[in-house]
Order: sequence, then C-alpha cells, then structure tokens
Amino acid sequence: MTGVRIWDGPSLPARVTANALNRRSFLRVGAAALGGMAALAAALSPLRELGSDQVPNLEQFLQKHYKQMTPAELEEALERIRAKVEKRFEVRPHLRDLKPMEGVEFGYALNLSRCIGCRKCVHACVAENNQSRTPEIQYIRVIEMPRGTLDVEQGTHHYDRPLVPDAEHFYLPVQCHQCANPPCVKVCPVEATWQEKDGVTVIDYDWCIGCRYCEAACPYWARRFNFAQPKLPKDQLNPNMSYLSNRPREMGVVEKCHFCLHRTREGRMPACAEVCPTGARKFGNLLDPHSEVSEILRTKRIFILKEEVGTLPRFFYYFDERYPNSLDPEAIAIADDLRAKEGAAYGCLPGSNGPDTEIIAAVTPQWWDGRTA
Amino acid sequence: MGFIGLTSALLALSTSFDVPIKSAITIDRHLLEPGARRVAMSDPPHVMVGGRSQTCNGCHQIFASAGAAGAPRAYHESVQLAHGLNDRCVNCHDPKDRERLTLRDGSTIPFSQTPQLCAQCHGTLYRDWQRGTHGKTLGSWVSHSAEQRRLNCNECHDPHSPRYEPYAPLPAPNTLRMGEQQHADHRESGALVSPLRRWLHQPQTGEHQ
Repeated sequence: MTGVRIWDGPSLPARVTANALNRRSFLRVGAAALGGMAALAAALSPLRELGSDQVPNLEQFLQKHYKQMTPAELEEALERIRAKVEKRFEVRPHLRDLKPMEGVEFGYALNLSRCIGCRKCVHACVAENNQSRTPEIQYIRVIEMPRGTLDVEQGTHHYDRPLVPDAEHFYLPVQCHQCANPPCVKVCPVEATWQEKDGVTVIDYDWCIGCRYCEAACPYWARRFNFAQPKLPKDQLNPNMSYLSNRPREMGVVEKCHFCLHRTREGRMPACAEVCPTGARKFGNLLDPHSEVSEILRTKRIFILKEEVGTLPRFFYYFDERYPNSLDPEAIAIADDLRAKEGAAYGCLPGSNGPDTEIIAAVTPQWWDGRTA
Repeated sequence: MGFIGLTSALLALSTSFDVPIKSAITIDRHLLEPGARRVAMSDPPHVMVGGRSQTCNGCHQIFASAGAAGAPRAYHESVQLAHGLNDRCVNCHDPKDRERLTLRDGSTIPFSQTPQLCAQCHGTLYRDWQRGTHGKTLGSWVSHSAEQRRLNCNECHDPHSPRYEPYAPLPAPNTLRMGEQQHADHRESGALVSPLRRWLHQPQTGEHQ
C-alpha cells in the first residue's frame, strides 16, 4: 500500500484512514459537509416558525383517518381537539361528530333576481366557521357583473358602493357547489376529502397533507389553503363546531364550504342562508318533494355554473319570471311584448299557475285611464 | 460539534421571506344577526300616540278620515305612500274597522293575514311565496317543521313603500389571491379587472374587413 487513492466524489470513502487525511481531502469533506448542512438548515428553517402546540404529539401523529377510526378512537381525537381549542382560545368548545341524516341530500338554490350583493353571507360564514382572520379566508365570494352578461372576466370582487344593488349590475355569489361528481375528491392523493351520503364534500383536516391538488382541480375556486398559521381572535371563536366542519384549522391544510354541516345536520339553516336579508338563498333537502329547493327546481328557470365541466353541482342559480309585479306600465308592456313574441304568459314556465292575470286585467285599464285622464 | 454549531448558526441567520398578510375587517355582530328586516304591524295593530300605545279604532271612531289621494294629512305624516298606482289608504285599510284590512270583494281580514291582501295584485309572488321560492324562511330547512317560519310580506317590505330598500355592502375581500383593491377608474373600465386580461386583452378595432 503505497498511497491512498481518494475517490473523486462528494463523500469520503470508508477506507480513508485518519493518517491519510491531507489538506485537500479535508477541504473536500468540509465543503461537502457545509453544503449538506446548509441544505438541511434551509429545509428545516420553516420549523423555526412553529409554536410548541403546532408540532403534533405522538397521539396526534398516530391518529387514523376519520373513516378508519373506531367510535372510541374518534372520541379520543375529539377530546384531544377540545383540549387544544381550550388551551388556545380559553373556551370549551361544543365539538362533536355529526353523521349524515337518513333520506337527506342537501341542495342549495340562489335567486339571482333577488341577490343584492350586500356580502352579509360572506361575513356571516366567516363568523360561523372560524376561518382565519389574518390572513383573511372567505368561502363565499360575490362577483358583481354587468347586467346582460355572464362573463366573469368583466366581474369584480372588489366593488365598493355606498349602496347596493346597483341598477347596472347583478351579483353572483359563488361558494362550494358540493358537486355530485367532485373533481377535488378525485385528485386527492391521500383521500383526505370525500363526499358524504348527504352530498356534502368534507375534509379531514388532520389527514390533509396540503398538496393543494384539490384547490387546482376545483372549477369554482371554492377551496382555500391556509398558507400561514390561521389567526382568530379568542372572542370571535364560534364554540359550536364539528369534526368535519368548522373546528379550527392548522397551517398547511385546505378548507372550504361544508354547508355548515354542524348546523344543517341538526335541522338548522346554514349561516349564509339564515343571514341573507332578501331570502335569495334557499337551502333544503333535494329528496323531499315539498322542500323549498325542490319547489325551485320544479318551477323556476335554473342554471348551474360551468355545466360543461360535468361536475353536477348541488348548487343552483335561478331567476324569477319577468312578470308585471307592480302594475308598472313599463313592466306590463315588456310582459305583453314577451307574450306576443314568445307566446309565454308573462314569461311563466309551462305547468306553473301563472300570474293572476284576471285581477291585473280587471284593475289596470280603469286605473290607468284614471291616471292619464 | 462544529457541525452542530454551524447548523444552529445557519438556522439562526437564515432569513424567512415575508408575505404581506392582511387582516380581515371585523364585522359588527349586530350586522350579521339573522331575522326579519322590519317589524311588521302587530295584530291587532297599535300605534304610539303621545308616548302611549293606542289602538287604531281609538282615534278613528272619532275621526273618520278618508281624504283624497295626495291630500295633505293631519296625521300619519310619516307614512310615505310609494306603492305605484295603489295610492289610496282605503284600498287596503278597512274604512269602518281600522284594525282590519279590506279585500277587493269587501270582506275584511286581520293584520296577521297580510299576504292574502297583497296576493290580490301580486299573484305570482304570492304563489312563489307559498311554495317557498320567494321570501325568506327562518329556523329550519326541514319543510313544514314547527321550527320553520316563513316571513310575511310586510316583514321585508314596507306596505306603504314596498320597494326593497338598498343596503350598504359589507367590506370587500382582502385575501392574497384576490389581489389588491383596484382603483375605481380601472374597475369601471373593466379592462384591468382580471390580471390575465393584461395579456389576453386585444385592442378593439373599429371594423372588420
């Protein structure tokens, strides 16, 4: 053994002995180690920003997927979350796991003729669902669009008028459509999101790895990602929560509208529908023929957003008919014109009862004559 | 040991990039209270006269008032009648019993059954309201349940001026992906609304060949 051949690579070969360490090999090893350490430090640097309560303990780490947990394990997980929420917000939350109701499939209908764009739904949703306030996360967005178009590129989220509605615009609120054929569920690599029996697509926030595939797959931009640790003032926490809906989320998980299932699975209205001042938002059971949404689907002109992508949303938009609802001569002229052109009785769908034309016909001529004379 | 020291030094010295994180504007809770927009007249109706609650007939037994349309009123001046062609008090109020409402056929109904009165002209809306496709429902989504309450016409609309009053909208979103609040001039033109439009936008030529 006359000399040691140094292997020309990034790491030190095992056969190098201490006495063979010359200046050149020392520098090589040192540079490689420095580079490796720098890379490691860079990779670990986000961990510095984590608080002690953000690093999962062993129990949390070993927590199973929601669907795989036994009732006892789920109760353990719920208790763990309760303790965590209590520590962070100093409020004991009313946290439970609500299962879908039998014979219920939720549907939502939104009357674009009545929506005035007041954004109450947006903020009621934030107050109800414990979304992050800093940075701001909202499930519902309201787009103001010029009348006579459905081109969202001409719309804006940032309208700021002293009063709404504006006569030249209409308002299109968009949130999770709870699709029957959800692309977000298909792309999730870890099955952290799935569709429940009542049609609500939910997320196990403890199972989500934050890859954001679902966010990219959603054609309605309904999903939100917690880029930063969500911040929520203690006094603004809503303690009424469930595992799959509005329990506080962590950084790095995706969240979205879940039809307020901690309310709706107990028979209550979602927060957005309850707060809507005009009654433009209608929520109910699609399987119940007498529910408000079923009545709307049967009698109104419905459309869904991006029908062509085949997502089969359970969120429907509808309009009211163009009928003279105020004895307004102009409105009646429009309706008469429509009847002449389209043969429609004041724009009503076939099968609906139609307006009380007898009364309108009996009242209007004499009143108009009286007015114009 | 040296490596550990180096690592900790790098951890301490490495800079984290700052993202401008904006806070949401806190909304006053009372603005988000669900409920009826206005308080409808009770049944039987009461009005405050001189600080005391009075029944309608208490005064109207003495003053049988039924002035012409647009005539100056000695009382109820606060009532602004803006209901289209329906501009006479006694079209809806019963001239004999002021605590009841009158229908076109001459029969009367109590104030609690206001939708029947409105239905005489607004047939389609009444039909929609009965189905639940017009108007607001509170309580529960379970149809015909005890908790479900459908608001009456006059809990949203002022019968004297039924046009739905406009609202001041709550604040616009401030989220990162929705971008900066755009200047009003840009918003009005519509050209710079979408960041994509900057590249997609093609100047409109007047005519095609």
